[in-house]
Amino acid sequence: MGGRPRDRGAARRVAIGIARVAVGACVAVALVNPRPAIAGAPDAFPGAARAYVVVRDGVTLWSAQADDPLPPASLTKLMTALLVAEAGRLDEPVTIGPRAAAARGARLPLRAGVRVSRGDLMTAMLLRSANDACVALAEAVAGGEASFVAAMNRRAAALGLSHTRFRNACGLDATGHAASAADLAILADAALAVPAIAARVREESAVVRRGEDPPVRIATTNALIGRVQGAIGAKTGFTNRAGHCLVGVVERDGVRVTVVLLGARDRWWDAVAMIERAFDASPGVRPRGG
Amino acid sequence: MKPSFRRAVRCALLLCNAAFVTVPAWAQAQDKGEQWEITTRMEMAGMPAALPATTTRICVGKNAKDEVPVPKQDNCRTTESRRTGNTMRYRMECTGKDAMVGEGEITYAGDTYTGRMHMTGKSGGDTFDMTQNFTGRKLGECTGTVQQQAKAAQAQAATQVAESCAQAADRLTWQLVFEPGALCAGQQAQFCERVSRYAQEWREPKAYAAYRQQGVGDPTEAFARCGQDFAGVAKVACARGVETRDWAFVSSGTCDADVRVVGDANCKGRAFTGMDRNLVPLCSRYATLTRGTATAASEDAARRAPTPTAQDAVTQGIGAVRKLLPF
Repeated sequence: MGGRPRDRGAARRVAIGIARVAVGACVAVALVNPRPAIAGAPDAFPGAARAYVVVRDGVTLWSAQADDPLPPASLTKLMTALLVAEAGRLDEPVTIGPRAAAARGARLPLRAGVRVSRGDLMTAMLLRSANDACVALAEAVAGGEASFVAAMNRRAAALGLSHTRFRNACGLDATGHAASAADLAILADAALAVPAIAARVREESAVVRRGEDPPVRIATTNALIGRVQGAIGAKTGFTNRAGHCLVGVVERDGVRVTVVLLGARDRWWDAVAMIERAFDASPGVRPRGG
Repeated sequence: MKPSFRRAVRCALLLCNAAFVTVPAWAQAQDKGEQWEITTRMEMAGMPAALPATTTRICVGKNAKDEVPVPKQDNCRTTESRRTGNTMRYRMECTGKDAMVGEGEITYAGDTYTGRMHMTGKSGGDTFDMTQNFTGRKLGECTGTVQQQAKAAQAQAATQVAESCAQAADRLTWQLVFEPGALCAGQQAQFCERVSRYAQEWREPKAYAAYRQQGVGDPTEAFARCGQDFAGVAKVACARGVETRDWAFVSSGTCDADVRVVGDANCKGRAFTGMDRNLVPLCSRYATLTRGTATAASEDAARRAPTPTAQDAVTQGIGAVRKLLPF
C-alpha cells in the first residue's frame, strides 16, 4: 500500500482522453452535417495537387483549394455507382446499346447487343473505369445519359455537394463538369456506405461476364489496394484537363482516412504520404509492422 | 485541469490507503461475523469523469456497523461521532504531509446502509476536494471467523499487489517501481532484471516488434532507470532489420534514420505501381518522411512521443489499490 505513482502520466492520459472525446464530438457533428470543415486546415503538402483534402474520421487534417470546382475525371463514376446501387436490380441484364459500345477512353470492352448484368457493369466501371459499362448503366437506369445526369445532380444537391456539377455520367472533360475535392470526399463516404459499392472497390481484381462473349478478368486501377494496409477503395481518374485524380479510403483500427487529389503531381506517393501521416497523427492506431 | 487532476489522483490514493486500514479495525471480533457487500464511488473536483464504482465483500464483527468506519491511520483521528436514530455522523482529521478534514454520515436501514464522506485538505502543496459515496448490504453470515476473513482478504491483497508488480515489470511501468512510495518499490532489482532481458531480446526486430504490438508505452525511461540505453537497443534492432530486409519493421517508425538512407537507394524516383511489393512499406515510410511540410511532420512527432496507454502507471496504481477497498 501507499503507492503513489507519478500523476503526470495520468494527467496526460486524461488530456488525451478529453481530446478523444473532442474528436468523438467532431465525428458526431460530422454525422449530422457530413461536410468536413476545411477552414483552417493547413496545406501540409504544397504543390502535391491542384486541389486536395485529407480527412480523418470526418475531420479535415490538411487541404489546398478543397472547395475549388475542378474536373474530376472518372471520380465522377462514384456518383454513377451510387445511383445505380440505389436503383437496385443488380442481377438484371442490360443489353449494351450502340452509344455505350462506342464510348471513348477506358473500355471493358463491350460489344453492342451483348447482355451484361448491372452488377457486372458496375464492377467494370469501378475497377477498370470502363466508360462503355458506365454509359450502359446510365442508359439502363434512367433511359438515357441526359436524364441520368440530371439525377446525378439532384443526388449531389441532396448530399450537399455545393461545388459539384455533372455534365456527363462518366467524367469526360466537358465545360461545367466539375467537383471540389471536399465534395468528392463526402461523395466517397456516401458511396462506400453502400455495400454493393464497398464490396467492389476493395477488390484487386474481378471477373466480368459479358453474355456470350468470354468473361474478362480485370484489375483495379486503384494501386493503393493490396499495397497500402487497410485500403478499401475508392476510385481513380485521368483526363487531359483533370490530370491524375484519386479518391483513396483507408481504414485501420476503426479509424478512416480519406484522401482526394485532383490534378495530382505524383498521386500515388503523395497519397501514401498523406495517408500514413494521417494515421501517424491518430492516437487510436497502433504502429504497423514493428 | 492538470493540477486539479493531480490532486485528485493523490487524494484517491490517500483515501484508498486510509480506507484499507479500516478493515483490521472492523475485524477485531473473534466470532463469525457478517458478510457485507459494499459499493463505493468517488467523485473528485477536477476529475473530468467519475471513477468507476467499486464493489467488494468484507466480513465485519456483528456489532461493528456501529463503529465509525473512518480511516485508522496513525495520523488520523475521529474528532466527533454521534448517532441519531439510524444515522451516524462523524468528523475526522488527518495531520502530516497529507493533512485533511472529513465529514461523513451513514444511514442504516435494516440490512443495508448508504453513506457519504466529504474530504478536503492539502496534499503535496495542492488542495483537494473529494466525496465518496457508498452503499452496503448484508449478505449473511461469514463462512469463517472475522479474523480468518481478514487474513484471507490480506492474502488476497498481497496476491493482487504481487500480480500488479509482475505486470509492471512485464509492461515496463517504471512508475509503479521507482516513484517515491510506489506500490512495487521493493522490486527494483527484479524490474531491472527484466529490462536487461528485454535489452538483449529486442536487438532482434521480431522480439521488439512483438513488444510494440502490445500497444504499451515508450520504454526509454524504464530503460534509463535501470541504466540501459533504449535508443542503442533500437539502433541495433534497426540495423538488423535492414540487414535482413525486414522492411515491415524498418518502416514501423522506429528506424526512420535508416529509412532515409535505404529509401534513397531503393525508393527515390521509383514508380509506386511498378515496384516490388515487398518494398512498399519501406518506400511508403520514405514518402511519409520526405513529402509534405513541417505541419504534417509535427503531427508525426506528436504521434511518436511517449504515449500513455490504457494500462499506464497511475491507472494500474489506482486499480491495484482500489481492488483492496473494503468499502
